[in-house]
Amino acid sequence: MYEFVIPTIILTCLIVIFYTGFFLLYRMFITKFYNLFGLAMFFILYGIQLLGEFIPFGIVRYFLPQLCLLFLILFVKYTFYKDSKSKITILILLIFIILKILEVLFVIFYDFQIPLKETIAIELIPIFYIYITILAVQISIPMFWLGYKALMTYINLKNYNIEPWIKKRYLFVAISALFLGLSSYANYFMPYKGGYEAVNPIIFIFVASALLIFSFGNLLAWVMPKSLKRYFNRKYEIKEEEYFSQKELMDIIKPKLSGGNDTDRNN
Amino acid sequence: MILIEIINILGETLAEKLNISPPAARGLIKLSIQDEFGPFKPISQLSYEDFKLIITQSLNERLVNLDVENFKIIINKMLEELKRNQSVITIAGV
Repeated sequence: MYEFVIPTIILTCLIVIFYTGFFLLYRMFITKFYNLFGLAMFFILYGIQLLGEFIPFGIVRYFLPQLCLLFLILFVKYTFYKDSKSKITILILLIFIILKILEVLFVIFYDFQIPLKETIAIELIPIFYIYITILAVQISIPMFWLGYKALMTYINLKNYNIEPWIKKRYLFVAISALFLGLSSYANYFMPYKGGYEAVNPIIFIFVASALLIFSFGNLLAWVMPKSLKRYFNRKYEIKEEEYFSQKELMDIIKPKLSGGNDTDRNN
Repeated sequence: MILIEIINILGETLAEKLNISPPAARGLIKLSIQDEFGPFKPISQLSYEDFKLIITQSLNERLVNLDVENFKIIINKMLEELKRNQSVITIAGV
């Protein structure tokens, strides 16, 4: 069963992820929001990483996996943390780089793959679990960071009168990031041999669902169709913005600042 | 003029601080944008740095001209609000 299902899921997600990545790259040029480069590259490199399931990339295999996360860290930094005195970006970047170096060394020395196709020597099992831990932490930290920031902004924006589809975009991003982060811990339950064919069905369903939720969640978030935006906005009244000339505006504000009332235009 | 969400958010904060209506506060912010960049820069392409400049320069000047006593506190609050919601510029703008 897996022989057909796995390539189908990966191929579907790959197309969706590439589409999202290139769409964001296109939007970056249109909007001139250059911080989108990080997010676009994250999706494109993640797509290439998934492509690696079909095409062996030789030496690139050592460096490509999880490299996309470096771009994700940059996106979070330049989208959520400009002017911030928080050291969290440096800390996450440092953890990521250290774990990436360790991961490359583990792959070079032990040639681990997840799931394992050939069984490994019993004395290598603890080392294999260290490798899995490195991967899980490396993937989950940036994903949880993005998920947390998106979720916190979503909660904060509940108090503001802005279009609901924008709030939902944050929610979609948060959920999909948290799911992918969480799925990295499923590697602890992967078999010692037999590749995908030997994976426990429950684990397989969990990992496949997380990948599908991540891919389609981000597609809906970033390439949200107009019909879905209209659906989220169904209870939101978009008011025609009033235009004030400078004089009209001063006539409204000045009396108010000197103790008058401005309740007739209160929205 | 297009209304972008970050102006909505900043407008709500300014309205609360000046005790004026949100449309009037948004109008004040839009005038400050025009002061800073003129009518030719598309409002949908304003970046975080642009908004920071607008608040610290032209909005600040307008509040001074309006004899707002606690203008420094208001400007700082606006900058804080901009920093807190900076992602809206990108997330809503894509």
